[in-house]
Amino acid sequence: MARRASFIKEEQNSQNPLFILDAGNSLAGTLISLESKGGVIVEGMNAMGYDALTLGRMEFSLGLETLKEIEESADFDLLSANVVEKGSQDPIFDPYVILERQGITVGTVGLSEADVNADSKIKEQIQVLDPMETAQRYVDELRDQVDVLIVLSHLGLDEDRALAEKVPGIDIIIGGNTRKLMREPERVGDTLIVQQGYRGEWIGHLKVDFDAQGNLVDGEIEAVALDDSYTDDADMVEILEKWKALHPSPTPRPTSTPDTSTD
Amino acid sequence: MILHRMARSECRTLPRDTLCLGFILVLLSGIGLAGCQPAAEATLPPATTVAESQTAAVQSDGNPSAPTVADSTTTPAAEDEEVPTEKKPFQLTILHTNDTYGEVDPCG
Repeated sequence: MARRASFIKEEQNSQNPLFILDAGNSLAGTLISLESKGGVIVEGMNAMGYDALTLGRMEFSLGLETLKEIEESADFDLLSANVVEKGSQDPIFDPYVILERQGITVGTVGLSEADVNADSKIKEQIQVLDPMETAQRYVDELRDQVDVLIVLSHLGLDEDRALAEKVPGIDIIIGGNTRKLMREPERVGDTLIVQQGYRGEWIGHLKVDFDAQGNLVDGEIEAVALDDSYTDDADMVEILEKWKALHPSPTPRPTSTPDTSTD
Repeated sequence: MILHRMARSECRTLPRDTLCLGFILVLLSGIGLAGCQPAAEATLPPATTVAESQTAAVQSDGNPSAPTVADSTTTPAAEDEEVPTEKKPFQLTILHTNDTYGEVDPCG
């Protein structure tokens, strides 16, 4: 995360309007993220200037109460248009957010996968609506209000392709769940689809051109491997050290690996 | 107009002077009342304004998690009319991640 922060800081000097998005399953997974109830990741993402995150299965595994607390502490939007309250069918989180940079407005709709309610406790509280119908509803609502329409999807690549085919009007689908490292954006109709690996080993750097009428012309992507060519960002290291002190890792047990030395 | 027709028929069956004087008075007062009507109507709020604000309230109640940005679209566009600016081609940069599983290190 400290290397990602370095990379993002460099990009923040970009002349283009810059948006930083996460397609889900990012707030929880490792021990420290679970013990801190997502706190370490939220503070890190706040520092990096993320704009929005779609809620995936791993986020919902934290429980609705924790997610509502995270919503308060996050400087970015937690999105899910198709996860609604059981019974009332009211949205639990923001279905979308409209972001504006340099006069360009970007509508970002969040879609969660069908099995986010796998946990029995969550199952009693939420209902997952059909993502295609939900996307159509919000595309209809937003298309004339914004210059660019993005779906931040944790549905998986096949469903993202189906979404692009069935719901016209989406400019870009930024996906997740299937953890595909895409070296080129995939184009389905007028929609670009991208996603970028997993575990924070890469970050997608997508540049998209639009004509004067706001039509998507083309896009190019760089899958940036956050290897040791990037230095750790000092501010992020400080944040991580603080959380590691609060939630120290358990002492590793001695391994029983056979000694292969020649002595 | 209805007031005018009724007065004319009464004028034929009653003493002419009295009735015609009455008719003229009624006619004049009718014209006066008619002249006041537009002023009275102007004090009422336009019907369309009421209908719009009721619709917005219903949407807001039915959708508690609707983003603030979406709510701002209820502001009538006509109020802040801006000179339309010419649109130009533009380029966006989007940095994106997914499925980082709460990783903090070592890989990014």
